[in-house]
Amino acid sequence: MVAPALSSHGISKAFTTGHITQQVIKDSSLDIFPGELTLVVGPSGSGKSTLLSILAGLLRPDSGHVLSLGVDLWTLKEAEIDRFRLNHCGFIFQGFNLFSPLTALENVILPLQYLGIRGGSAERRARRALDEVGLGPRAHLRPIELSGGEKQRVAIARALVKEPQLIFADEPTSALDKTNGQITVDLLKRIAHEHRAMVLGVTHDPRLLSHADRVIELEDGYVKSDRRSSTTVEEPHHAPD
Amino acid sequence: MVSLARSSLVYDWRRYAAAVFAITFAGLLVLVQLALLLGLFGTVSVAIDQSDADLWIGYPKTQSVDLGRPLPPGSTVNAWMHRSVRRVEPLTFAIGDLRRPDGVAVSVFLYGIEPVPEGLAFARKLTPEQRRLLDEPDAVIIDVADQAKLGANVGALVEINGKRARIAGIVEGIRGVGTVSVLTSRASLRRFSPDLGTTTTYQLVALRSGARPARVAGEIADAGGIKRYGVWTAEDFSVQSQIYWLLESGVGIGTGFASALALLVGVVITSQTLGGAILASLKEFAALRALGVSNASLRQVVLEQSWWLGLIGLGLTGLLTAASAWLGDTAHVAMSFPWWLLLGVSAVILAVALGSGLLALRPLYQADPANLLR
Repeated sequence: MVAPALSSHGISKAFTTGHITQQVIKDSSLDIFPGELTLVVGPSGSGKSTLLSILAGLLRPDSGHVLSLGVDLWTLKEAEIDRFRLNHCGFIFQGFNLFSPLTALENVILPLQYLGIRGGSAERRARRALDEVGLGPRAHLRPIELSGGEKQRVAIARALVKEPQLIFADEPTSALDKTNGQITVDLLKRIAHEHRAMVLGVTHDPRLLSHADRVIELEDGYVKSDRRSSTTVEEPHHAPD
Repeated sequence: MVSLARSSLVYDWRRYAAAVFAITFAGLLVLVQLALLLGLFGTVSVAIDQSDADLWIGYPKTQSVDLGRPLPPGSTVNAWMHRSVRRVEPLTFAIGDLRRPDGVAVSVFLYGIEPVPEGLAFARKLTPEQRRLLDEPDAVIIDVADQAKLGANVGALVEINGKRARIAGIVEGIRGVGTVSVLTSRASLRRFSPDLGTTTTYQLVALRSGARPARVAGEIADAGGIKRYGVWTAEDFSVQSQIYWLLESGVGIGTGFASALALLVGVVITSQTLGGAILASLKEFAALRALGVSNASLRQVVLEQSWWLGLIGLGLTGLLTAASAWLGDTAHVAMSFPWWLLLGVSAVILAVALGSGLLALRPLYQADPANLLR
């Protein structure tokens, strides 16, 4: 049996706007496993991005625990959480968020420098990551010279280059056409399998679901269903044997 | 090594140009104003700067060279006994009343110097021939810039304090701020102003080559509890005199106010530019935050940018200042760029850039990665 890379226990989160308080996540508990691509789906407002933020150490929950690689994440100080993300987490966003003054290669090298990896070894690792997403020959180009799909692959290389155990992807395909969306999600799946990394994505794109190893459906802050690609698991926090 | 700060400056130079110009022109405005002011007040210390003395002995705590008072006797004993001292020479100041050939009276500032060939006073202005002219009784030398005011040419007869005097020569560049300077020998000065007696205002000291003026100044200083005289190096006394007038005249305050305003505008434009650049890249910064890059590291990026902006601004200020100095020189405008002014303004320019960077950091705290996941 494989231990989960990430588990949440009874997390809740509410947002208050004026006099209105909305409970976005309600007592949610989940186990996410390494070596597979897990997608969280749900309609807009179902709280899936909020859930991802809490699990990734970006947004503090009102209650509950997140056990990330065995660390009780939200008991750490702000700087320690930063350090944890630096060492273990990769992120992919809907909007790519690449620095336009930097080439693809430099965008990938940048996070390595903050890990203290510089010079030749940083460049070698960045080139390897770009090769892995199939962009080796276009490493010298700036984001403006790349297509949307290529930009997202640079962003994936940037997330991958640190060799993180945890990769989070927020709507990674919603700014892409069908072909590029499929390339991206297949890439994420391959990374999960080959690097034995946990890849947790959030999407509302139904076309991607067939590519995922596991699909968790969220509605109104609750887990509505939890399916594996072959079998369907009704109990959301049930670990596979 | 990938530098986000430098790459952004190069790639997005149009955006940052406004900040560079703001820094450059703030620096240039401050520098040229102060150089003009120092140039103007440099004429205050013309007696020091155009003489060959290494040290000046004068009344204790004299703030500016033109405010000298009679020296008590015995002020030069220490100087004469010091082995590094080559020459000690008296210089006397007096206020006089010059009556032009047409009868009009003008107040003048009289310098009584030693007319010997090896004399130190105004040695950088007077040729040995001009010095010899002063050897003749009643001979005076005036500045070319005062010639019209005195209505006199070489050879003209005038009266100083009711005594006969003769314009023996004309030089350029001995004029002080708002005063008419007249050079004469100490012997003639005693005739013009008999009540001076044998008093002198300063003793000019020249040292043997290799001697260190600051050190000798300390060694020949009055060791008594109540000082009867003060000793300054020529350079210190010159700067001290200029600063006194800078602060005393009120012109310094006006320049200071205008400079502060220029710097403030520089800070506002630079910080706005940097802040705008941060806002434009807010999502990218937030993505770095998500990847675990600390706020402190992002602050460093902005501060590195402001540092480079400061350096570029400094370089441009340097070029434009050189151009201004050349223009001023061509047009005979007195400007002065001492090293401490250049160093001080450079430091201020870099401080403006870094301060602007610090002010621009506020938008960076909006780079909350959770906002990317909405």
